[in-house]
Amino acid sequence: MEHSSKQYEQELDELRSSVLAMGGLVEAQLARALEAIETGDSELIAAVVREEKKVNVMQVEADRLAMAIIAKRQPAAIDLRQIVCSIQATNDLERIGDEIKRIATLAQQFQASERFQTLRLNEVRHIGELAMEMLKETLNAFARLDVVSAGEVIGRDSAVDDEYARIMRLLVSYMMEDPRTISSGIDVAFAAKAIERVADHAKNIAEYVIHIVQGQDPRHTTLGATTG
Amino acid sequence: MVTSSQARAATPAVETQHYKAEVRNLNFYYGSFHSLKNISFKLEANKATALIGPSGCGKSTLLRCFNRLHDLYPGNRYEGSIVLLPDNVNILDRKVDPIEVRMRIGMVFQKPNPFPKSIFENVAYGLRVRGMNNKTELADRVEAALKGAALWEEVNHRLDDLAFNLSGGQQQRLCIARALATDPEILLFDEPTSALDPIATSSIEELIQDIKHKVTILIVTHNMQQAARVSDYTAYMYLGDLIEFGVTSELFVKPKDKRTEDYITGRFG
Repeated sequence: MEHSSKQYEQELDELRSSVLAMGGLVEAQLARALEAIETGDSELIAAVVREEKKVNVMQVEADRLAMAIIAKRQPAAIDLRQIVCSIQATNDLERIGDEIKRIATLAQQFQASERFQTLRLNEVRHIGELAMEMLKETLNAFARLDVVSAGEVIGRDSAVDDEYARIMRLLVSYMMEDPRTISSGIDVAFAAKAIERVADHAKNIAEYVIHIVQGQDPRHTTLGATTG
Repeated sequence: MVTSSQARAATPAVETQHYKAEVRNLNFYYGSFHSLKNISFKLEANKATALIGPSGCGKSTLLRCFNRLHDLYPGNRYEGSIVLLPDNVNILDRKVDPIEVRMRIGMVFQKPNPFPKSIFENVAYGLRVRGMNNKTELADRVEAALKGAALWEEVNHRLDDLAFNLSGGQQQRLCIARALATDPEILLFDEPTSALDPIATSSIEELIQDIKHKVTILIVTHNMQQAARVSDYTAYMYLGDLIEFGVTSELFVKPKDKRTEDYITGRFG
C-alpha cells in the first residue's frame, strides 16, 4: 500500500534510487578495476581513481536525502528500517569504492612487474568474478527487496573466503620457494584481500535487505543469545 | 492468568511485571452501536500505555470506560470488566460508585478545563470533596501536587489568582496537578497536548515521564510520535478492535500486524 502522502512516497523512491545509482557506479568501477588487473590499461586505472570521488559524493547526497526524510517525516516501521539500512548500505558501497581504488592502484604496480603473470590473472580473476557476482546480486536484491536472493548472497561469502585462503597458501609457497617473488607476491595478496573485502561489504548489504523486509537484524546472530 | 493475546504482546520477563489494571473481554455499546469489541489487555503499573488509531477506532471510548464517564449518558452499556489490581475491584460493576472510581482514576482532557476558581482552589477541590479541611494539610497537598505537575515555581507567588490567567500549557499542568492532588492510581490523558504549542507539549510530555513513578498512565493521542516518545506500551485500535498491543519501542520499529504497520507509516487509506 502507498503512503497517503505522495510526497513522502517520492522522497523514499528518491532515496532508493540514489542508493541504487551509487551501487551501479560501484559495480561498473569493480568491472573496470578487474579488467585493469588483466590488461594493465593505464587509462582505465586513471578512470577508476577519478570516479572513486564520484562515489563519495553520491554517498554524501544519499545520506543527506535520508536525513531530510527523518527530519520531515519521523518515519516508523518498514520506512524507518529502509532509511537506516540505506544509510548503512551507502557506507558499505563507499568502502567498496575504496577497495576498488586500491585494486586499481595495485593493477598499476602489477604492470611494472613481469612476475606472477599467470597467478595474478587466473587466481585474482576467479575471486574477482565471485565478488562481482555477489555485488550484482546484492544490488538486485536491494532493488527488489528480495530476501531469497539476499540469503543466497550471504551464503556465497564463504566461497570467497575459501578462495582467498587458497590464494594465500599458494602465494606463501611461491614466496618460500623463491624470495625474489616476495614483493610482487605481497601485491597479489593485497589485491586478493581487497576483493575479499568487497565481497564482505556485499554480504553486509544483503543483510540489510533482510533487516528491511523481515525486521530482524541478521548481523552477528551469534550475539543474540547473550544480548537477548 | 496471561492469555495468548497478552503473551503475543512480547512483554519481556512477564513474571517481574506488576499490573495496575486488567481489561477483560470488554465490550461497549452506544445504544445499538457496538463500539468496543472484546478488548483484553493489561496495564502495567507505573508505566505509560498509549492508545493510538484513526478517528472512530474506539480509543477515547476505551479511555472513558476507565473512569465510567459513559455513565453520564443513557443507553450506554458495558460488558466484560476492568479490574483494578491488586485489590481485584471491577470498576464497571454497577455496585461500584463511579465517584469512588474517579477518585482513584483521574483524567486530563484535550483542552485545559480549570474551574472558575483560584489556582489554589482548583488543586484543593478534589481534596475538599474528600472532606479535607485542615488548612495546613491542604496547603501541603496543593504544594506537593503543583510541584508534581512542575508548576509550583511558576505559580507559588500567585496562588490566589484566577486559574484562567495562566497560559494554556500552565492551565493543562494545573489540571494535571488537580488530578494528582487526590493521589490517583491511574491517570487518563485524552489527547492532552493537542491544544498546546510545541514547547508546552514537550513540558507535558516531560511531566508524564516524571509522574510515572507514582501513577500508572493511559494516554490517547493522535500524535504517533508522541506515543512513541512518552509510552512504554502501545495499543493500536481499529474499528473497535484491539489490533496489536506491544512494547512501544518494538511496535514502532517492527509491528507484528500489517494493519498497524500501514497506520504508523501513514499508509492508511
